[in-house]
Amino acid sequence: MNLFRAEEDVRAWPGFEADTEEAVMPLHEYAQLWGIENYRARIENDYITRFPALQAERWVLLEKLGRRKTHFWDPPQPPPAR
Amino acid sequence: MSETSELDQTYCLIRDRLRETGQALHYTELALALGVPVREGYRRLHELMAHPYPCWLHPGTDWIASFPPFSNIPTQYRVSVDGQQRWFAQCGFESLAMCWVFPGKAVRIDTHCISSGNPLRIEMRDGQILLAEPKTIFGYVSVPVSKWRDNIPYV
Repeated sequence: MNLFRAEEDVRAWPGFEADTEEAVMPLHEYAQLWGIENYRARIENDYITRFPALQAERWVLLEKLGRRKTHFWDPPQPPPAR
Repeated sequence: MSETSELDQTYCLIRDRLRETGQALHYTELALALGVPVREGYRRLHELMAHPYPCWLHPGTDWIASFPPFSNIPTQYRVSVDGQQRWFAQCGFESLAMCWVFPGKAVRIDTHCISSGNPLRIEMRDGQILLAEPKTIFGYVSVPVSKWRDNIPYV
């Protein structure tokens, strides 16, 4: 999860992977994503209790940003029930 | 606000020490702060580290390595508040969340582009970008979210 001078520096980076276009985003979009309640609530004293309920907003915002066309941002699957 | 739990209490003590000093507590200090025996401090620390909140210990130790948005190990994401560079962010994206644990303060992030090596500077307050040099900054992660937990320090 790194920051780059510009979009062309992302693509020139040796760690850049094919099929990851949805993760190439300008600073203001990442600031929005890391600005959802999950992060704002870290200063609250009940953050860990609230943590599970704070995760869904991320995927709603990614949808609004048009970043859910592939599976890149899909949340991890829960482990299969035994 | 919901009722706070034992995990919340542990979280707050570690978070607040990091906010104040830039350094995380050891479990002996956690025990002292909680007023419990050392073994209980150890148990509380490991209980929080097992939670989905993406914090972790340095492998093979009981030392907190990362406690987002903070890193207890120096990273290339240097964070200053009130002109003092005392903190490191867990990663580039978490550096953008530093402002939420310093409400009302201007938080400065100094780093270098991991590709070109050029200096980058960002200032934020309460989620607002006050300054970005250069204005063209981009973020990127190469690992899909579903695989973040496989090697979270790398991600």
